[in-house]
Amino acid sequence: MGLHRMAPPCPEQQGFLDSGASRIYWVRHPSPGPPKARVVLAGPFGLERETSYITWVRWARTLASRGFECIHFDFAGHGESEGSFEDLSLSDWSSDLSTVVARAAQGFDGPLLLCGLRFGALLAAREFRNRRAWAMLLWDPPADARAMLSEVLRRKLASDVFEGTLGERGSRETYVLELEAGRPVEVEGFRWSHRLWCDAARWSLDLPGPSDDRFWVVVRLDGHGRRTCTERDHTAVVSIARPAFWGHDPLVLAQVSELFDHGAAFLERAVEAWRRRG
Amino acid sequence: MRGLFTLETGSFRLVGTHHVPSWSARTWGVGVVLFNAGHLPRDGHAMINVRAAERLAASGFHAFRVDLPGLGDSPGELPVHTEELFRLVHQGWHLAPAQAAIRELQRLHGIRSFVVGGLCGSAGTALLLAAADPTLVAGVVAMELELFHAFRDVPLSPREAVFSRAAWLRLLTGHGRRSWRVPRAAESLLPLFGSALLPAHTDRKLVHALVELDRRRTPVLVVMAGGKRREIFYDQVCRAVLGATARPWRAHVSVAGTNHIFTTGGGQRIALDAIERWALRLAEESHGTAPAAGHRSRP
Repeated sequence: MGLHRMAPPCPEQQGFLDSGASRIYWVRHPSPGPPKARVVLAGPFGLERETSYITWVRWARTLASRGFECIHFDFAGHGESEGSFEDLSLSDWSSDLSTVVARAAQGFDGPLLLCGLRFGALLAAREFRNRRAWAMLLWDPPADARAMLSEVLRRKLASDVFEGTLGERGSRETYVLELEAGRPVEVEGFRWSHRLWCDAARWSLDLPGPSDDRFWVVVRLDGHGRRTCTERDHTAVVSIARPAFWGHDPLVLAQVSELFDHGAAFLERAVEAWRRRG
Repeated sequence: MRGLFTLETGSFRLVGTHHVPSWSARTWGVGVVLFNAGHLPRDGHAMINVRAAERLAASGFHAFRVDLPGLGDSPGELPVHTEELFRLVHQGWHLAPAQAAIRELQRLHGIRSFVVGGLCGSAGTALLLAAADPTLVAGVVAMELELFHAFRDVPLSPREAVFSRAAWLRLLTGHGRRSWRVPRAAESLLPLFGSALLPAHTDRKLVHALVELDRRRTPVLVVMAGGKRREIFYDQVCRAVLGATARPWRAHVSVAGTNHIFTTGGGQRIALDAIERWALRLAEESHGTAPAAGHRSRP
């Protein structure tokens, strides 16, 4: 039996940050020495946040041990943050991310970097437009928020069929009709609102234009595509085990060393480029 | 109103959240502590622990959610495989940090005793803790209590199966592949054998803890997904070791149409209603009183 130590390089700090009507829970992962950059991590949504939490914290600690100061947080209505999930939507969560990024930028002279996973990647891409961050690393962003919600809905239906808890509604179309009619629907324990469903249709992956000279990359984690990518075309492919760590991975400690190495190397290059730029 | 805390106790550094009782409610002398479900952070599946703690705080309880070592935001050690984590948890791996956390919360907040609970693995930890430290634990909330070892058995050849006690137990208790061949009439005889006929993969340590709590009349609320594997197993174990007679200190709520983590069929709401009702009854029956004003803590 092997046990792996989940220890931060320095004691971490937890706290709340005011964002609109809710207080946002954040965790700061300091680096042992002066940080070479600050990284804001925008994590996934709903049950994916919970199942990927250990990996997300490991990623923050990995970066902290490599000299990056990391901040991860819970969107309002998720985890430790206040707010009712049912009353919130993408614009609220986007505003949470802006609040955390603004706070992270306060009094810091070094480069600010963004890293988003799945739903968090979608929001990070929009936040990147505000030009407060110098680099952006996106892990497995969906094409748009509606595509992601549809994927979660499919997963819910598959799980209900497997568990024998499908009930009367029984199909994706029925759930969609209910959402469109303004009735909330319970998906993986969270009540999705009509507002969330409608907002999602207008929320696509918003990537920087060709004139943007900052560092950013979209990393696909399905292993399909070219494995030799450059920052110039802003895409990369890293293969991770399936089911993914935000799904039903049978591992507590997901095998993500290749992903972490790839991500850390990208952020190191971004810091180097920022220094060269002066 | 919630606040954060870090408990430095022994070799553990545990991060948690304190839900402060509503000022409009009577504050009970009993606190509530919820631990991680499986490898999830302290909020639980679809925030079930957060919602439970919020409701209990609104009813006047100091409610705490604590990340055990290696989970959520607490540093510590973890195995690679989920199966290994569950094996360790069933062996009582989390007992020492859970006990240390509650002792520290007791010291910090002046709370007399605690209801301890959680879902799945932490339900087992709560049961073990209550059996080990009766002065500390006033009651147990066990959601989807797993009284069996979930790890896979090594397949036996037919010849090996004939001479295997475990295989016979599985067959007779309805957990074998050929259990359907056991005549119906034989099932009614099973309770007569008592704990001798517990299925082979029963977690005997947990069952002994359950029996001990029953003997001491410690209030235990078991909330199960109706008709699912864990509930069937729990019923069977109860019949074998506790008898069929209902006892006021032993409550079982069966939530129909939901899954193991209560994330479908409105299961979470039903589970939380049951927990809140049960906790209030427990607090009233134990004549819980508010701690002295100085002990009423703010985060």
